[in-house]
Amino acid sequence: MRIGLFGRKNDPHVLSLRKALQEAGGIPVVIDFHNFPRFNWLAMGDRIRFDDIHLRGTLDLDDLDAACIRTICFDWPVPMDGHTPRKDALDPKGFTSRLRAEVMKVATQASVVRALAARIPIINPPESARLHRQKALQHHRLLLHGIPTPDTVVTNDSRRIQAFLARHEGRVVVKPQAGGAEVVMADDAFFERFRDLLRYRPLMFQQFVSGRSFRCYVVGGTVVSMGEIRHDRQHVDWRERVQAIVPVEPPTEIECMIRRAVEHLDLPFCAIDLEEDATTGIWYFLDFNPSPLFVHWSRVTGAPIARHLARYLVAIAGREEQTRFRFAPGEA
Amino acid sequence: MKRPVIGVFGPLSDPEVRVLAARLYNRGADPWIIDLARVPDQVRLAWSGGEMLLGGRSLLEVDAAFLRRTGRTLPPGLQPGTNIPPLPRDSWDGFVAKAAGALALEHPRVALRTALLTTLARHRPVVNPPHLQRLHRLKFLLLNRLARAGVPIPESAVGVSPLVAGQDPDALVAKPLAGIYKTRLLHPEPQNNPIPPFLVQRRVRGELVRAYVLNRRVLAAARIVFGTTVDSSESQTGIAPVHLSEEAESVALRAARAVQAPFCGLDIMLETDTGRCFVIDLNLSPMFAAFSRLSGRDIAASLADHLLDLAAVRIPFPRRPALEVLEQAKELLAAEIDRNRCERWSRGAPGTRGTFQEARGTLTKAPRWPEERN
Repeated sequence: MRIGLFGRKNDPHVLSLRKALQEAGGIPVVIDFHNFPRFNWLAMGDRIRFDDIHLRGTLDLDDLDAACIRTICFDWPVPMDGHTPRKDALDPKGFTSRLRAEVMKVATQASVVRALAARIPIINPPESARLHRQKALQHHRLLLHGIPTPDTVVTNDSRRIQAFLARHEGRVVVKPQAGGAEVVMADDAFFERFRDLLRYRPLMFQQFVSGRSFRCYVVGGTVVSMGEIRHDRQHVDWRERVQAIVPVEPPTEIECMIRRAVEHLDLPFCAIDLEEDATTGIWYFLDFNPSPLFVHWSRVTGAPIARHLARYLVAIAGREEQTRFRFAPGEA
Repeated sequence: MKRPVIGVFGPLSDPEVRVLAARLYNRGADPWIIDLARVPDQVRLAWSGGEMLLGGRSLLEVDAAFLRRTGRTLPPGLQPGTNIPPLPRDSWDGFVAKAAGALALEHPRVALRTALLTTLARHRPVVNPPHLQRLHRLKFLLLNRLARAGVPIPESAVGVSPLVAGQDPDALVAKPLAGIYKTRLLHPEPQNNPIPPFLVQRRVRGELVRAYVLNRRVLAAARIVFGTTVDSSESQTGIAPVHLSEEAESVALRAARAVQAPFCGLDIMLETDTGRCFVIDLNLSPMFAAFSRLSGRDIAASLADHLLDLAAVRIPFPRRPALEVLEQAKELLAAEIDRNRCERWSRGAPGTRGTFQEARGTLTKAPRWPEERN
């Protein structure tokens, strides 16, 4: 079974998964678009062929049986690597040209992944992975399916913001709607600093839930690892402020809810951030990461996430339909 | 009796939006023009739970919707397709910082607009839904879908592929993979081509036909009359309505089916040497106002009827009698068009009935229609 791994060749997660795939009996093929199209090209008819100097030959992407996306696209163009404002100053037309080139590059990569997703199982399906960049839609979907998420409003209407703050007695956070920024308290300091921001874009306000923080890794609808995150409580966002990770077993009812949530969001592999409210004891689903970092987590908790994922990929490979929840990792 | 509310997403300045809203209004519907680019500067948004309010009005009031444009609010210098004029070296750093800030701000705005539209499309029929509209910016995927469905497309590649090797430079074109710039002949000197990646495609020589497909039916087709440029839009002088051959019609319908588009505009090249036809582009939000004017085929009216059919599934309502509609449509057309100018165009290039540019010029003078409520 040939399993495509989309990501940087030297990414530790790609390397770890590659090794695990070999152990699981799959044939991993790393597809690195970083230098595209400097060292590689794509030919397209009814089949897509990819040529890369590192592949030592042309790869027919239609020969892949499954694929896993570690990193591939940005939803918004960013200037290409190696170009600085100083270099742009020497080449005034360069900035927009490179911006356009980045749009084209992103479009090509997204096209390839979507074309493959119509044929083979992909982890994660592009439409599901997109939800990570559309938090309002993600929240809406969770609500529709009765998955507990904190009360949320997306608005630029100051009266509604005031009403929302009053309803939650000021315990409200501001979340980035498209990722890429820190979650912070919606307090006076925030409004003082970002008052003008509401003129330019609506913000996502969410009820602040405080208690115990958890992260769990899910493969094929099964929780393969869960841990409590101990972190500096002075900050809302615990990323990069983790003090300890304590492995825990998920309560049965929470595991059922996790399974339901990932089925509705169509995420065969993801990391979920949960928070247990200290006052009410309710577990809230805060975020779903469709391409989570797992190497460090595996090192700390001992959970072989790459192995679980690799076995799952091999199990679903070659199937025409996405069989995301039909095989638990143990069955693979 | 409740009138069906048809959402038309796009700015009021867009001729397609105005003409469609007029046709809808004329048929007894309540067109709601929603310009998402005005969120949040001029329109308040509140999305909480299942409630989506735009300017205090629930988006779910819409019974069916037409998505013309999602809307951008980037400053003019950063709009795709614009060139930044040369700046003094000292001010460049400041410009890049501002540009990066504007792009960073646009990211969540686009995410939110797309999220709104995607949610609406889950609850109400939308022509064309956002996941299809994205294909316009994913040309590689679009062409792949067409190729897989057996729709003839010219040989295509991205990057320095064997397709390029040994080819006559006049035989290949460089096309954008996500819109934005024009199609050009592939230049043998790389520095004269756009910065890679771009789509390299075999150049098909022959007649270019634009065809509109709505609900699995070819609505109208016309030959595009243009000069010697590779990209027809750069030298277009007019259109000449044609009847599609059986083969071309089959290709058009297969192409629309391949992408599951209820409404689209196709560019079909009829190759002179072989007589074969190739789809070179498929537009999921095509311009149709000027085409209608010049071809005499009222695409907006057909589109309005289709939207009302979709809305009728939710709320049956009595349509106005056909004759009355026809009379009103005539009046409307008369108001929109400066007939004298139209006749003057028709005396222009042989076989043509005026230019798109001129037709669009008059459309901007069309009467105003019920304003957006928010």
